[in-house]
Amino acid sequence: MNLMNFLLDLVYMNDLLYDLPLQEIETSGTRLDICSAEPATYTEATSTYTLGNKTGITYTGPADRTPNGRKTTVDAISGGTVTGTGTATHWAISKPTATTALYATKTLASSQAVTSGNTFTLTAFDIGIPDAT
Amino acid sequence: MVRQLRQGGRRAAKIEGETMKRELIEIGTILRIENGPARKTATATPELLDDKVTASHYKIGSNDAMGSPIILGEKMTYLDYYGLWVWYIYKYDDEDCRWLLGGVETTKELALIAAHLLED
Repeated sequence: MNLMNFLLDLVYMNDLLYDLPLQEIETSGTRLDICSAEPATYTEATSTYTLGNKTGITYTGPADRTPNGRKTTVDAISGGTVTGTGTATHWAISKPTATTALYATKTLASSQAVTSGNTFTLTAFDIGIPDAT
Repeated sequence: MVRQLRQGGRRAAKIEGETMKRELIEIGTILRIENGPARKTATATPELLDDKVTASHYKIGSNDAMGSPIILGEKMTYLDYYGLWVWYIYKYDDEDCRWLLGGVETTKELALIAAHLLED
């Protein structure tokens, strides 16, 4: 049984259940890549479209999200390694261990040209789960 | 606090346009198949950009999946998180030192067959 399909029929969900995927991201989503396109898979995030990465990223949360839902905050990143030359348009967070997985991806607040060999920084940003509308 | 989880696709829990993903199969050292949302191209319309049709981060003025700005009436590329996921086939390119897309199939079985054809 797909647990997610079961949960969709629920009217009430405790915050703890919202926090589970966020906590998984916090625990295992330790690699962030900047990408030249929106990756559909872990392979695309970490190889095909990557322009740079930072491992060992940290989080603050989970916490209430505005205007509703729950969120975790990816702490500001510095010293990321740029491994390719191009325009970074998206970020991607992955689980880089044996059972690899792409956890989250989204557009950068603004696109940025990067050059291999340089470093990159990112300000803190949120990953959130909104309430139903 | 009352919360209700929104449906975000057959295999993905929607998290504001981001998705949880899984399943990567390695074939030897130079081939991989992995499932993910289908990458599609269509004309940007208000209907397509509705959050119930495409992920909420696809908006006029923001980037499409290939990093190009979304302009009403023009072509845009997006990942269809709400539709059926597909299987991407990748082959490692020694010169480029990265995994390059070698094909897309609708089922794991077809992807395995296609991947083995790339072995030759």
